[in-house]
Order: sequence, then C-alpha cells, then structure tokens
Amino acid sequence: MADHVAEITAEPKTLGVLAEFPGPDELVEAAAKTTDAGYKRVEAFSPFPIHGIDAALKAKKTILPWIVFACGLKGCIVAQLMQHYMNAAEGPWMFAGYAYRISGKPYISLPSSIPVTFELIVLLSAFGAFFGMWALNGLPRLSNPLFRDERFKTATSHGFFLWIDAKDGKFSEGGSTEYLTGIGATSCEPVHEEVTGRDVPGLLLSVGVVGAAIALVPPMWVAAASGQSSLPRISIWWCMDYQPKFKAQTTSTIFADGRAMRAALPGTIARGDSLESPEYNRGYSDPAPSVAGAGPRKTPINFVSLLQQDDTADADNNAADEDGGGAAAADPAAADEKAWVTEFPEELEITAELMDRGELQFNIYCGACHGLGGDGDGLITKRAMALQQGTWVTPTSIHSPDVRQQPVGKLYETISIGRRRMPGYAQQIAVKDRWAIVLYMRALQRSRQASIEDVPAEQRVNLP
Amino acid sequence: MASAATTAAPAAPAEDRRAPAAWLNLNGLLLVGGAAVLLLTAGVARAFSAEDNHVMTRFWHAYLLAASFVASLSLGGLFFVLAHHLTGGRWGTSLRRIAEIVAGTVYLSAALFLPIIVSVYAGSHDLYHWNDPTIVARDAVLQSKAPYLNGGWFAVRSIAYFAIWCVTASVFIGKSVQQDQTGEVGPLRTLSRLSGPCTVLFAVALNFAAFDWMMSLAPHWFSTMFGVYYFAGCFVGFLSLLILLTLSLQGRGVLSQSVTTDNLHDVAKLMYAFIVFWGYIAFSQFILIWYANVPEETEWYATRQLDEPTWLGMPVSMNILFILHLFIPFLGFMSSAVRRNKAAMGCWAGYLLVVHWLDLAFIILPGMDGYTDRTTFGLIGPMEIACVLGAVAMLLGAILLGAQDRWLLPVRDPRLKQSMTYHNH
Repeated sequence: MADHVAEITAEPKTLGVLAEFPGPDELVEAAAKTTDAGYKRVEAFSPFPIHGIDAALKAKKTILPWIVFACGLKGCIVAQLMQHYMNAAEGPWMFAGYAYRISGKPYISLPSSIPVTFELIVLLSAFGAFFGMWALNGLPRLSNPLFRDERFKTATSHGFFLWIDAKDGKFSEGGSTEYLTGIGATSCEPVHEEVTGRDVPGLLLSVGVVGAAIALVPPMWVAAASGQSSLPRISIWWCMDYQPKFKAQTTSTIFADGRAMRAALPGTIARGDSLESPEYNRGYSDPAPSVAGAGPRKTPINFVSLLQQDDTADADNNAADEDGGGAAAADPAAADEKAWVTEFPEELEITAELMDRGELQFNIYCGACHGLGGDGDGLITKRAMALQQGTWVTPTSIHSPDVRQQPVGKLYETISIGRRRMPGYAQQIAVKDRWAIVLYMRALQRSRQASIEDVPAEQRVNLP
Repeated sequence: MASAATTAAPAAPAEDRRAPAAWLNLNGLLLVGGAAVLLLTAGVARAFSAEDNHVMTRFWHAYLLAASFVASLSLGGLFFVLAHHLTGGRWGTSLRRIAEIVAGTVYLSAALFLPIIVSVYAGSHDLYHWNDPTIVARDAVLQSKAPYLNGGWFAVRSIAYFAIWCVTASVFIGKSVQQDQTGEVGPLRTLSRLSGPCTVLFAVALNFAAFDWMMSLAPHWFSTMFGVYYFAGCFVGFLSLLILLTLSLQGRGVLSQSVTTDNLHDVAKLMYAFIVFWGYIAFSQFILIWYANVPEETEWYATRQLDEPTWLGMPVSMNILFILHLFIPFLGFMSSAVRRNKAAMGCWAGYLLVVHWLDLAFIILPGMDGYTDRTTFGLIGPMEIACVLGAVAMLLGAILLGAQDRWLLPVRDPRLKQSMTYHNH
C-alpha cells in the first residue's frame, strides 16, 4: 500500500523533449543543427515525408533493403525446391513427392517453375518490406507517450516536431529545452512517463473479453456437431431446405409412369437439336417401342396421371411393357443391335468434295491413332507400342472383315459416341463431317478389295 | 520568368551547355566514314558472293541487324521525349534535349532502312522468304498471308512508319527549340496535348514495324507480344546510350552541373525497371510457346536451338540471353549505391548496349539460308560487327549534327529548376 502511494507521488520520469517548428525547412535546419551539436537520439515528425530529413538527422542507413533481398532470395529458393520436390522427387520414403509427367515435359523443368518462383519472390519480398518496416519501427505497440501531448496531434495535419530522447547522453531537461528554443522552436516542452492508468483501458478489455467469447463459438459448434442426437436436424431456413419441387432423375407419384422428368412431346425437339432425321443424326432409325419406359416399372403408381389424355404415346408404351415385360433386357446383344442405317441418308449429297472433306477430317481426327490408311497403326499407337504402355488398346483396323461388314450407320455411331476405349467425337466433328469420314472410310476399305475391273480402262495401261 | 529561374539555379555558370566544338566538327567524318564502312562491307560481300551465293543473304541480315539497332536507339529516344510530355515529368527535363537529339536521328534510321525497303520492293528475297514467288507458290500459309506480306505493301507500311516517327520527332524538337528562344510556355502546352495521340501512333507504328522487319523473317511464325519485346529492348538501349552520352559530355565539363547525380540515378532506375520488363516480356513469349508446344509456334525457338541438349529445358541461346540481359544486370545494379555511381553506371550502360545488340542478333540472324549455329551467337562474325560499327558511327555523326547550334538542355523550360534541384533518397 505504501509502495503504491509512493509510486503515484514520485516525480514522473522525463522521456524527452518535444519541440515544434513552423515549417519543413525549419525542421530540416533544426534537425541538422541538433545532430551537429552532438545529440544522437533525435527524431523528427511531419505530416508528409520531407526530402533531406534523413541526412539532417544523421539517421543510420536502413537495413530494410537487405531484409527484402533476403526474403526475395528465400522465395526463389523455396519455390524451386518445393516444385522440384513435389513434382520430381518420388521415392519409397515417407512424404515423397509425386513424379508426374505434364505435357511430356521433363520432371525438373525450369521454365514451368518460373511463374511460381516469380510470384513467391514478389510475395515474400512484399512481406519482408511490410513487416520488416513494422519491426524496424517497433510496431505494433498500443500507444506512444507522445500521443498524450495535445499539440502533437497536429503532426498529422500541419505540425512539424523534433524530439530529443532522454536516453541521449547529452540530454538534460533544462539544457535541451533551452537549446531547442534557441534554434527557433516555437514551443518546447518535456514529455513525462505516464504514472497512472497504465492498465489496459476498460473498453479494450471489454472488447477483448467479448471477442474471446465469440471466438469460442466455432469450436463449440464443431464439438456439438460431432456428437450424436436423436432430435431432428435444426433447419434455419426451412423453406430452402425443403422446396416444393422435383429434382432431376427422381420419382414422382403424380405422373402415371412414376418419373418426375417428362419425355418430350412427339414432334418437338430439344434446344440445340437439329431438324434432320434421326437416321442422319444418329445413324439408326427409331425402333417401334421408344427407349423411354422400357423395362419393368420400379415404383408403384398411386395416382392417375393428370396428363394421361395428352400423353398417349407414353400410355401405349406402358401397355406394351405390361405385355412384353422386359424381354429386351434379357438379351443384351440384341439390345445393342439397333436399326442401323445401311445406305447414306438422303440429307447427304455424295460428291467428290465430300470425299475430299472426309479425307481431310479422317487424317486430322482418326489418322493419329488409326493411321492414315486406317490399319490401326497411327503415330500415337506406334509411340505407345514403343513405350510399351500396358493400358493402350490397339485401335481396330478398318479393313478387318468385321468392320467392313458394319453398316454405315454403325460406323457413324462409333465416330459419334466412341467404342471400347475410343472416345466419341461428336463434340469435335460436325454431323456432316462424320458422314464424310464414313464415306472416306468406305473408299479406303474398297481400295484394299479392289479388282482390276474397278480401274477405268484407260488407266489400266499405267498399272505395273 | 523562366530564364530568371535558370540563371538563379545554383551552379549554372560553372558549366558549358553546348557540345564541345571539337566533337561537333567530327559529324561529317563520322557520317561519311560510317557510310563508307557499310558500303565497303557490301562490296566485300558482293565480291565473295560469286563463290557462295549465301554471302549476300548474310550481308543483308547483318545490315538489317545494324539498322534495327540504330533505329531502336532513335525510337527509344522518341519514346523518352513523348513519355515526358505525356506525364509532365519534371525529373528528366535536364536530359530531355539530349533525348530529343537522339530522337532526331530517326531520319538516319529512315535512310538506313531505305536500301532494305527499295530492295524488297524490287523483289529481293535475301531477307524475306515471303518475297520469293517460288517459295510462296508451294506454301499455302504464305499464300494466305500474301495480301499483307508482299513487297509493295511492305514498302508502303515502312515508309508510313518512318513518316509518323520523323514528323513526330520534328514537331517535338522544333517546338522545344522554339521554346528556348521565346521562353514562353505555349509550345510546351501544345506538346503536352500532342503527346497522347503521338504516343498512340508511335506505339502502333513500332509494333507493326517489329512485325514487318523482324517477325516476318520467319513468315510462318507469329507472336502478338513481339512488338512489345522489341520496344522493351529499344528503351533499355536508349537509356544506356543516354547515360553514356551524358557521362562523356560531363567528362568534357558540359552539363556537369545541370545533370545531377539524382537525374542519372533516376535514369538508372528506369533502366533497371525496363530490364525486368524485358525479361518479363521475353519470358512470357517463350513460356506460352514452350508450354503449348505447337509446332507452328515452336518453330521460331527451334531455329534458335538447333541441337540437344537444352539447359534446364530452355534453348541454350535463350539461357545466355536471360543471363546476360536479365540476371547479371538485375543483381549488378540492384543497389542504389551502384546506381548513383557514375563510373559504375557508365560500365553498365556500355554493357547493356552490347547485350541489347546481342538480343537483336538473337532475333534477326538465326534462320538465314546457308548458316546455322548451335547457340545462334556463333552466327556473329566480322560482317555483323563491321555493319554495326558503321551504323553506330553514322548514329554518332547524326547526333552531333543534331547538336549543332543548340543548347544541350531546354534552358528556358520552367520545369528545369526542379529537375536540377530535387533530391532522391
């Protein structure tokens, strides 16, 4: 108790002297004089950066550039090591990298690692500059004794101040004040250490307590969610969780066929579909029963369809199903055989240009794997064989008897949706071009089966 | 008022503000001597072409390299002047007249390009394959590009580029010199207004000039950032030349007070920024092509990398260029102590001028008929060096001609005082 009283009544410790000067030029001049006079711990405050103040204060050259340089260098090294470790250092040890070949580039390839390296150099340099500046300025700190000086507030608007710290060897409260006034300070007064109120302010304390309490909510939430409960889940936005709508590919009790999704009405097409015949677009004609509704029904029908009268086709299918009862599903081979188009569709005009187009498209899209002659020996295949890639399936030769017998519709569908490991090319090749490729394939196939009669009479003399 | 400001500048009387008379007298000798070297090289090439018909091809490439190098320095100077008026920058006012004089040598570039323009118009295909009808006849790509890449249209475009640059340079020098005499700020205001549209014209012309002169050497290949690539090199080259010119003038006591260490420090900073910019552009162009790996694009780099193995996945020549043009100067004058040291910056400026020339050699020389080299820099021989020495001699002659009867700084520009008195920290 006695100590406490003594602390309050003791003479407050002087931290330094703060002097105000009328303008930036006077401040620079005063700073130069003060440091010339032998003061070492001198600091200047101004609303804006003043050229020349560093020299006037005889401030030591900042080491910030070296901090930034070190951080940048670190960014460079870390980025290089990280990428090479992650992408090239595969091995049996723990936390090994994963050697992953991208675009056929080497595992350790400098060019691909440059962008990340550049970004990391910039990022760490910026961090170094920003936080290094903080650290060198002694930030962050809650308060500075200078802020208690009322006049000092103008240092952010129009005040120019010089500060001599009490730790300076030449400092004495009276002498320094007198000196500063002598060199043109408009006002000069000492700043004392705070004797009371050094506790954390009440407001800050309250904010801290409330913040800490709020910070506890997320972990508590996680803890609560990981337990078990027999209560129904709390739904905050009930109307968003349970919307009165059907989702795609789900069942419905409203419609007779039990599906929430509706089939397109006969005679309509979906947006983006073409108006040409299905034979032209798909390579096969529609079988009598549509695919829709095939197979045994999985869900019971509890209601009569409201749209039954309009949806006669659907109703017919349902009737057919009840008779046939999933016979189609029993024979997958038969189900695979569609009503293939055997002649080129009438939409297609067979011309020499179409044949040329087919050759061009075949060489671009098919030749890479199947080979330009269609023998299944394209460059990719040869390369895969050279590398002995176990996953590679050799493409079928278009000259095999099996393929030769395929109707044009089936060849067309193979190009469109793919077969075995071959992907579909519907996205890349337009419908007409796919038919052009089929046409060219027919020509290629015939070229291997040609007889002397196929050669025009006037050309036969040229044959060896 | 403005002149009062100038005379009030601290140490104005102690310096000379015109080029040394001994130098000015050299301009005729340099111009004629340089032209003689070029003609002599052409004559020697012509003499040897009887034995090897690729020698003339080689001479034309060497000549294009020299002309592009000189043009790049003039254009860099023009950009410096335009950018100054555009931004209203004060720091470089004391260097502006030297930049204007360098920009004025764009007339020399036009003269140097004239033989190329005329010969391409006349159907010569020593430089450009697209001008060879027999090649175009069996090349579908060149046929489709023929409406743009043909001798007549090439000549029209090149003349248009030089017309734009020459008129711009004349206007900006003329008004500036006029302002020396009257001391009024009116001409400066006019230039400030003109600088925007002129910069746009300058940039468009420079971009297409780079496409026409250098990119079309490989007529199948294209890179949309090629113009920017050439520009980045141009400005680095010009700033190096600016430092060298200023330092040699100061060595003779000229402008020793008006151009301060702070001015040169700022030029060095700008040069540093543009080295990084060059690296950024050159690498961006490379990595996009490298990553996509499409033959029609990789062709250009493949020509510059004729042999395996690469270094770290990049062509050896590309590596050499990055090391010389980016990494060495990047670390070399990163420190402001170096940038404020005149002797050191003089060395770096000379170094960068040579490296800028190597960069252009990397662009222009590979792919010419009859000559290949693993690292492409081995293509540089006596002919290339003779051409560039001749062209640079002519450039110096033209600079001295431009300095005739002129102050070497805009003596009555009101911004001059600030330019001479500010301090960098």
